[in-house]
Amino acid sequence: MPSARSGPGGLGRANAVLEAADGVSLLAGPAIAGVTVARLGAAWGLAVNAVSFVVSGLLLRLFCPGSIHPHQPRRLPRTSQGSTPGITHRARFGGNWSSRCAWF
Amino acid sequence: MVLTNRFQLAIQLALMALSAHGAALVLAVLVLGQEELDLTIVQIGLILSSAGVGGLVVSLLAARFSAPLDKVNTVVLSLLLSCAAAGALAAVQSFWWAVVANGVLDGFITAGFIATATVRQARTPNVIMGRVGAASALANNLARVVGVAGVGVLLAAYGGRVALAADAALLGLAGLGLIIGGAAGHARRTSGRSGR
Repeated sequence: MPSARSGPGGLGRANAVLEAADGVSLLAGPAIAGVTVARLGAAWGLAVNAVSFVVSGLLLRLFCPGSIHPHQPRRLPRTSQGSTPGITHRARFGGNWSSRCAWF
Repeated sequence: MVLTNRFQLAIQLALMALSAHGAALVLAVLVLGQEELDLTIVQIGLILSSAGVGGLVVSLLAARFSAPLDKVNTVVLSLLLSCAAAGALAAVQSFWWAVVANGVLDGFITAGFIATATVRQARTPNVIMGRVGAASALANNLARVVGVAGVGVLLAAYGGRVALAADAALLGLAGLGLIIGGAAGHARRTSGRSGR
């Protein structure tokens, strides 16, 4: 969120908009769920819920930059022996990247 | 840093009070509506929905008038006004007053959440933001658990009004803690140094 600030009051405005979106979803979510469950059943209600997470991920991909730290490799580097990295290597790479990425 | 920095600790305690309140309020309103105001489930649903409306209105207003949001005094004011609104909710005698009081209460609570998050983000270095956020989320979730358990005990022993009064007291104490803890003065000094 701090990276979203622009000009005086930008950080507060960003937090307020985030809270407003939260409020809208809290009001709209149960209403949409009620209509879906009443019309289509509980299983479809859960399916719509699942799809909403996919939509969130796609929106995040659409509006947020692909790499916050362009200097960091986006592909997993190979091991020193040139072989395909194992699970330990992958976990260490992920942990290192996460710990350095303030945005993440 | 959250535990060793007095300002971060004061802000975190305020966030924990807000989180505990958020988790406990639904239970308290449910019992107040059913057992003391003798309301139907639909009426209780409307009281709870009014909170969403109040929070949304305040969020939109805050987005429009965002200048005071990064001031600790805004957090203190939000907590003290939330305390008064929770006290009013504990004393209501009719359905419509409960709708109004809960809507106003959630408006102040939302203002508190926005201001607290903004104040902390503005004064936390980016390199430790992730760790501070994670520690804060952990403490807030613990506060939710304690809040629900605490309000459950109060509801079982004394009923909805006492539970809401205790909630009001918690919010008031958090506001006073921020004043007494000197967080406002610390924030002013920090803000003066960084030229904000």
